[in-house]
Amino acid sequence: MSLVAYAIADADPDAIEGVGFDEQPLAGIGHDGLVLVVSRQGSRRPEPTVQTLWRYEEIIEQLMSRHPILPARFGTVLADEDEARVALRDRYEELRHRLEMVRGAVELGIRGSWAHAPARPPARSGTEYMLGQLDVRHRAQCFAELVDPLRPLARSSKVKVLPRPAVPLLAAYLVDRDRTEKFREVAAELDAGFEDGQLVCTGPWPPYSFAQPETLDLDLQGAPT
Amino acid sequence: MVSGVAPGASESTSPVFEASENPSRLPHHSRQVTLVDILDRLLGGGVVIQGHITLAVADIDLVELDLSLLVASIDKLAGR
Repeated sequence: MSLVAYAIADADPDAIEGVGFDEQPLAGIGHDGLVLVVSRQGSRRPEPTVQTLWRYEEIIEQLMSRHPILPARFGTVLADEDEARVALRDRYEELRHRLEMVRGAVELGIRGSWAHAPARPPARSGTEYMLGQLDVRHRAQCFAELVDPLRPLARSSKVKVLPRPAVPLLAAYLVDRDRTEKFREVAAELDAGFEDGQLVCTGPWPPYSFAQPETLDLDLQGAPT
Repeated sequence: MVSGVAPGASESTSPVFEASENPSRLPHHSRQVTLVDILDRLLGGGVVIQGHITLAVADIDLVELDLSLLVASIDKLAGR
């Protein structure tokens, strides 16, 4: 039977408790100190509905309250326990390194929003269009400069400028648990002094944004050439 | 605990709800902020345990998989 994966934890397989999707009990599949937390898949593969996403988040947060974890990408389904063990074995060093990186830390998010969304009048020429784009980019860059003081408060950070036209800034910070309040205070101060938009702080989240290296070390053996 | 704030709130970094609460009870604008954050993280973050397997098929499959998840989620959110 297929397995739904939730997280990789630094724990004893027997210490994994809780309930996953479809009221299936959580279980740990271990390999040399690493545990992949799974539950048996019910009749259907988990679909990304609102309720399912909230439920997934709830399961991950319960795991995070007990163990250092790397949350799995939503929708990960493995064929069986052997596949789970192979995944742990093949990426053991990388996963160990990531777990050490997030141990004792949480993710805090900063989302920027425009006070006044950039106007999009129809451009009469290519030059006018490009100038308009540059102006939007410049305004979004101001958000990135504004949040610079947050970086020293975090172990690591990932800042995306203008990831979507309606979103000038999207940032994730890996912050020590005991520094989250300080982080929030500084974020609130930055927001209060900013007129061109608003900064919204969310979290603490499980370390979704820091669970995966920027560049995957992918195993291309067996890939078609 | 996951907390978030409404876009129009005066104290923008004060927690106003928890993820464990029933989202249907939350103010609509608060849910929007958090749902976007959840979508970004759950569908775009986390360990890709089977990454090497997916890529072994072809790069484009990985892209299509992510896209299908996202499209499905937007459809669900829009109640289509």
